[in-house]
Amino acid sequence: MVVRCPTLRRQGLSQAASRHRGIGLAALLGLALSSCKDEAAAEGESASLRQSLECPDAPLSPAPLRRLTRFEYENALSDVFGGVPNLGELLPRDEVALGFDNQAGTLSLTDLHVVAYAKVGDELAAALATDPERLAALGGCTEEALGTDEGEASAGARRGCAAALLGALGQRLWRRALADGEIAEFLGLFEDDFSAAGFREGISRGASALLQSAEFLYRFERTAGEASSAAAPPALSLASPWVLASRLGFLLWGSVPDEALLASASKGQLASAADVEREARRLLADPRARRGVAHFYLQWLDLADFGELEKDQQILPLWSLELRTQMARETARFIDEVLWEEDARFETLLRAPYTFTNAVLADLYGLPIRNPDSEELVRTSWPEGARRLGILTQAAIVSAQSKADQTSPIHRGKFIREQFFCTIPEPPPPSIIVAPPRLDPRKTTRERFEQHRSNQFCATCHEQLDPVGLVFEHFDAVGRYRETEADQSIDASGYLVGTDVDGPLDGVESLVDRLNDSGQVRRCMVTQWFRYAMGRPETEQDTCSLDKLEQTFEASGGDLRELLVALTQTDAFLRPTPAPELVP
Amino acid sequence: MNENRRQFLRALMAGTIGLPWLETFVSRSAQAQEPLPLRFVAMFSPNGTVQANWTPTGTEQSFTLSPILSPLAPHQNDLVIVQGVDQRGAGGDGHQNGIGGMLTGTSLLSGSFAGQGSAPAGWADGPSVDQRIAEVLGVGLRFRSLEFGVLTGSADNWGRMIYRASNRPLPPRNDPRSAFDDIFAAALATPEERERRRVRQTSILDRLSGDLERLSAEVSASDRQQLEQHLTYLREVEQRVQQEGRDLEQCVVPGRPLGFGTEQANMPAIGEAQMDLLALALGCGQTRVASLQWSRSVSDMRFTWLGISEGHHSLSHRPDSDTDAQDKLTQINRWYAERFAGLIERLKRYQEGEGTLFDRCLLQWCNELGTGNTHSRNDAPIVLAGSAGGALRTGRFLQYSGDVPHNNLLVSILNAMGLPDTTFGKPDWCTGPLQALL
Repeated sequence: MVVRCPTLRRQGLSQAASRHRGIGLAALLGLALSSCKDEAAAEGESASLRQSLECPDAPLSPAPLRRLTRFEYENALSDVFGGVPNLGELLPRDEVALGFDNQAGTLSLTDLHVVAYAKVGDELAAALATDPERLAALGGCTEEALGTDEGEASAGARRGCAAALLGALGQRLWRRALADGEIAEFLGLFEDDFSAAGFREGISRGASALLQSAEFLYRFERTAGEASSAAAPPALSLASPWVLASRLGFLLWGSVPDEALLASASKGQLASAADVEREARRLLADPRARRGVAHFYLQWLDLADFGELEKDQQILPLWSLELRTQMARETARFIDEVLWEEDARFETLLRAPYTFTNAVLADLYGLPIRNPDSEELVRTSWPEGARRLGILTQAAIVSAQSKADQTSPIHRGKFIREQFFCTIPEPPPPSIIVAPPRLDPRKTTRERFEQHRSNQFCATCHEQLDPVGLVFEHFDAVGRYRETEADQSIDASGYLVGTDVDGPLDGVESLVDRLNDSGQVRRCMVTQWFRYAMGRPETEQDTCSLDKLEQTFEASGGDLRELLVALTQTDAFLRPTPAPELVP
Repeated sequence: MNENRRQFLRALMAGTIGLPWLETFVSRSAQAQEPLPLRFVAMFSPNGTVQANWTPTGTEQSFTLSPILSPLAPHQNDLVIVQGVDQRGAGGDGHQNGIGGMLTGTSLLSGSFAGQGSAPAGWADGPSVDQRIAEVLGVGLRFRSLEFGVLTGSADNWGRMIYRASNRPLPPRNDPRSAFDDIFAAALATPEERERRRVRQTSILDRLSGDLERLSAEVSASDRQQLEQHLTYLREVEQRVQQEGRDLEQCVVPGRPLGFGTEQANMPAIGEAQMDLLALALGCGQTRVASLQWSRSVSDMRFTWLGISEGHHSLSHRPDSDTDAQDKLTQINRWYAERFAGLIERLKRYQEGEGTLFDRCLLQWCNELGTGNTHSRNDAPIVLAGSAGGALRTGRFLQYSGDVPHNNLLVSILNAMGLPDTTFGKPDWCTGPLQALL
């Protein structure tokens, strides 16, 4: 049998281009690429804008309409209302593509969403309508307006405060100022000409309708009173200030902009790349950035579903739901530390000589237990010779990339390939029966997967995976360190092929060295962030933005915070999304 | 709160899900003397079966149930067991196109879900058979169809079997409590409360519909499709609210179920609650088409309550020679057979006309694979139950040659449900109805 196994193929691009509700192929293929550095004439365009854009003449990638993800929806409600009803399983989970839950072309919407939005909207709106303090704060609704006076004057006052309130709330939720006519449509939900009796119900209906409105739930990138695509933006321009504010909020906080950012937008203070950078830095200094940015890392590290991971407790008696909880906390805390308390460098994420532990984790890691009764996570240095470093040897990562009863060199190798090198190994042909070797106390994992090396049919592909995954063999399926398996010393050697840092490996430390040196990994890191930021796979038209990102990331010494600022300075972020052609 | 409701709540609190109130329940259509409607239910369990322990022995009319199917013995005369039908499939890996094609008879579109052993694939390319039935039977009902699930996991094409149309998967409701709230909670409200809610929701939904219509006109064709779907669902939800008062009167509704965590060990309890809700929704006329999805394809559920600590999918990959794995897989599939029997029993508890609700039901128990360790979609283990009002002659074991396309079964199901369709799914994969089934 002939085995066709081209070494590696790049993830994304062509296959993603033909996604379901994706980008028109014509748009992808039909547009000729102009060089990034073309010196085309800038007729009537601002010279300073031209200067601040990296590739003003490259066509931009069109993008599908983005629906708020469950994460963004919850954050927005939490930021605007100060609390969210427990959603539980009320909203269906978001579809995950390319590892992320925010890929616009894949996200669906069903009646279950509609019902959930209505339920949540009604609950929040009802609470708002009966909260005099918030009514006063948001709409300036006075005692008089809220009172029972049925006079014409107070009806006018009630209409005024309702308009102010819905306008203010609408601006937060829609991320733009509402036109008077738009507010009036929501005021139409008030019955009986703003009588005192119907006022609270009217406020409640208006607020609930805003919370269920398409302009809240989708990211239409347009400004008040202007049809989104009827008037195509000039070829060379920045997106509108409202759009830039919205993009900043969702990228950095996973949420709607705050009032200060919207104020900047409305006052013309979000009109240049420098303005966007200033606001990006302000947002990054806010605690909400920790929440927003963590959401990327947990997905990139394949930990989004870690809360559902289960293990075979007969074979791994140490495993418990409590241990699982603590592992997840450890890794989240570590990422937070590296990004926000430390230097935020990619290398530190990979190499930091410490982690965070409490009694449960210290027990797993074989460290002295300092405070047996406390769950508090304490920064703990790895002792000499622990063979642990950075994020990759943490229990959550190695457990997630293991099977329920044993380690998995294949999953661990695939994880490194996909998440760090952005390559998917060619899958096994459908004709073969995938029957992994069973547990055998007399054999090591390496021996049990020997067929992947000895059988040439398997080896052509598996040599991309197993030799990378096997360097993790010191860490068992729950992340505990082991010196031996089946009475033999662990052999943690391996090698990398098909990358820009090929060569032999021995242990995770050597893999970390390569990841840190690799230009391919750098490119992959910025590509992952780009996909997350834009909510779509990269296309040919994004090459220039990606090149610029990669250069900035390298020049900053791999600074992951600066990478976020750099994302906001790409053409893909700053410029308007090209108007999709209207179908007659 | 009446005594029955209290009993139900107590039963839930105690962790048992017996439903004494069901037995006295008479469905609305029986009283109204309308022609009695047909109902369809699809139930899924994952990862293939153990063919040797699934296949009955004997002849079409005189057969002995296998170890896996033995829990269905009380209903043997109500079954049609179908062997030797082959599911075609394309796109994605065997599990992906198995679950995607199982009820749609179509291949998977290209997409972003990277399978084990194939190029990335997307959603299925056509409606599932239940949705085709719902198009006809679901008209005017509060719910066109109801999709229930038990721990179905991530939103991807390994976990979706019901499709409204090509590229439009319908996610199951995984949480009995949220499902109850959406389907039945309004029945516990007073007529005045319901009317207030109706007026309010109608005004809001009108507002939202207007916006969506306007916005749809402004966006690209693909975005418009998304907004138009949103609009369709808004209108359906609005319709449900309009019908609450009239339709829910017929439902004797128990109290709100307790919330369940998503630990695997909760699967049996969640499943019991979901089956109760499914039967109730059919029994009191909220829908005529429903489905129940146990976990998902490639499910690695650990059946600890059966004393099995290995994951289901891991076990399913072990070779046939592994008697330990074969035994455990037999136990797992028998457990699912018990659940299928439980569903049948629930439907038989509802009196309707001269008989029971079950008499006008057709249930299909399906699986995305025939055999787990080969990923074969041949010989998928199919059990039908109920005669759909006499359309199907039951108490039979039908063996086919193995080359019969699965799409033919789907055509026959449509015919049994009174639809005149002559083909279903991908036309190349269909040669008409399944011979001798009806």
